[in-house]
Amino acid sequence: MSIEVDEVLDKLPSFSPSVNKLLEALKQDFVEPKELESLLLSCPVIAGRVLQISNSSFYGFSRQIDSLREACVILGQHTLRSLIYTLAVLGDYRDEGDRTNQLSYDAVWKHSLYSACLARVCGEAHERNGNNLFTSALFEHLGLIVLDNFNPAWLPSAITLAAQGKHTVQDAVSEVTGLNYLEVSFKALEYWNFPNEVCQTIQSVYDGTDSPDQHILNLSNVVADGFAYGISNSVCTVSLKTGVLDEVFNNEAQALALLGACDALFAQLAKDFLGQS
Amino acid sequence: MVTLPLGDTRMSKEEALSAAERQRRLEHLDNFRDALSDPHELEKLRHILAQYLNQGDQGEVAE
Repeated sequence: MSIEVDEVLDKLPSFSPSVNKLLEALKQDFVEPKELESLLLSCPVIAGRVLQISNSSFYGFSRQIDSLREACVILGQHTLRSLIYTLAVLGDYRDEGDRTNQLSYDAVWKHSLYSACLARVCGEAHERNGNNLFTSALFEHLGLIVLDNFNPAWLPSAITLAAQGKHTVQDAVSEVTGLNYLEVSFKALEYWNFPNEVCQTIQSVYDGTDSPDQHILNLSNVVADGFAYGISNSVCTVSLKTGVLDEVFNNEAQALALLGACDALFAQLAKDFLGQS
Repeated sequence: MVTLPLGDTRMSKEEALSAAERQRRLEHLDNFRDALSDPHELEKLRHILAQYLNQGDQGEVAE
């Protein structure tokens, strides 16, 4: 069996018509806030979350944002675009009631959101682009869900393989499918016109580029696994590279502060992004 | 050079991390084994994570 990534991407489910219309409008360089507000209102779940997240500590605005139009103006189109794409994907790729597959999408998103929060605070501590790291970590594992949509038999086998031996999820998926799911992740995001910076960050992890961003993402994933936010029980998402711990955390006191900031952010965003407490 | 993140993410430890959640993480951490890691590095990480979960209840999570 030899499957190409493009075959998988050809079967990506499309968004609902109203979400598609919104995303289509966002491909333009500029959309009038009034028009954006109107398009958002036809996607009530996304609209509600945009308003919630605009007022959360994620953006850290000092005053309350009361309307969608105000959110469109204050956040700016670039930021709003990333946020809407994020919410559209998170909204469409969730667990369905009748799934019997052992891969829980909610577990994947919870792992990804915890990693994203830690990547953001660590990134800011190292004067990297915290928002880019947040979105990259949030969607680094999207490829798992895309592959599961393509062939539901793959992931259970890969997770069993990862749980049995010294395999990371990435290695086990590669062994079962012949595909690297990180490649599926960044190519799916490119297909959906996610910001280039996010696609490139995930591609650099796929390429194995040794960089501060890759080290931050690496450690964030391992900490999420260590803190019981694994993609599945008893499997490791990635492996901790030697030297990364000291490089990212620097010393124990700073590690504790970064973990605290991460939990504070996660506690707020789990509700806003995933609708979970 | 590492600088601590700023912003308004301060909340009490109880708000950010309940006692039950802390206990759940601690129990998992006992059995957590990275797939391929250098054992020394992994032990250092486990120590930091356990230290974080066990640190006193007083004070802010984000400093």
